[in-house]
Amino acid sequence: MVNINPLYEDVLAVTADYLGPAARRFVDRQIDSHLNKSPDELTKKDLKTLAAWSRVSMALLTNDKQLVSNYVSRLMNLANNEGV
Amino acid sequence: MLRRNMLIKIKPEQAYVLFGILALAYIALIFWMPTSSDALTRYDLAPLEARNLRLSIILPYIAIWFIACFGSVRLKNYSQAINKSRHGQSLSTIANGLFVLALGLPLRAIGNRLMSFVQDTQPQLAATSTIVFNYIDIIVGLVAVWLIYNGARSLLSIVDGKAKATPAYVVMIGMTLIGTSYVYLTFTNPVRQFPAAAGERAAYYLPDYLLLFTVVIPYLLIWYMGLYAAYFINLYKKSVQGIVYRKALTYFVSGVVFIVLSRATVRYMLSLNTIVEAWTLQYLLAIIYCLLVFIAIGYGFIAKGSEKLKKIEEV
Repeated sequence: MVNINPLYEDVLAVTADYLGPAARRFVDRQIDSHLNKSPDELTKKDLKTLAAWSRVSMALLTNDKQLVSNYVSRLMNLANNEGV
Repeated sequence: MLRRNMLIKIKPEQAYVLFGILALAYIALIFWMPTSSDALTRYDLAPLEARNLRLSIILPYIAIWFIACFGSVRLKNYSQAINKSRHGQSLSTIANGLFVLALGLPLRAIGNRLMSFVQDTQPQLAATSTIVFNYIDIIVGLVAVWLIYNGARSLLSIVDGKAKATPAYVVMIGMTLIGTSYVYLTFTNPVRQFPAAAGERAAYYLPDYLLLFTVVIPYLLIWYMGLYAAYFINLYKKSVQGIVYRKALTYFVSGVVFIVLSRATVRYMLSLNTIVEAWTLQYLLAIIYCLLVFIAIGYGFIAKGSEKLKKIEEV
């Protein structure tokens, strides 16, 4: 099934800057585990929760706090529709 | 192009059991077979001294086999976690190649021991055993490096759309230096076809034309594919998207480079038959230890890199 949720694609684009080819699997896992949704059901209201959980997960992958904050900020900016 | 039959299916526990069996077999051979009289004479050792010396080498050597097995199994484990992606399939092929290389370590050690025994007890079989052993070594090396090369090429094609067709100058120069010196040293080796004296052994027991086409060219091919595989993987790391992902790849890339270069060096050193044997024992042991440590470091890096990459798939 082709996912055409533009918000989900934006989230993927941001995450890909950090996780590259693993981005889609990472985002799908966060959405499924913490939001109990499928990717095409993702809305802007979910972004705050998604960003919070993504911060926790990303912090497990890198010690660079600035990088993690940058990533979370960019996700939150999507809720404000400020682009990636 | 990758095909399903490039994927070797072996469970981690099966791999460790296999290596355990090979380790026990090797230790048994060390204690059961007498030390080569040629080696005892060359290094002025009593049989018990030679056996103790061999123990001091084989125990860390066996530890390195298990590190190598561990590293390749870890990479295989990670690749299977993402096996639906092209990355996963490419990495799986590389993992298979690294496993075959790792398997080559105990096989080479056992083969070497058996060959020494045969040459000591059945001198008329010295030529046959040397030729068979060399060919097995070449086949194992070719299979392993071919898998790693194809996996690396496939990995790079994901990020570029196609594998780099233009050779890197660094790899070309390196290959030229290694290749020409290896060919020169091989064909100027006075004991390449016939031993220097009775009771000693030749390096290959092959006429020059067979030596060229069945030994030298295959080894050049192994080094060519090995160096390019390391180059492709490094280029993949530089080209792939993802800051965190690239950092996780660092250990993996370093590991592959370490392994490819150290294995190539081992083979290169072994081709210097008369020169190596003329060195004193302490220098020979130092070189062997260094090369073994590099191989272990390489596989250790592979394991650590795989762990970091797998963690991305688990959080």
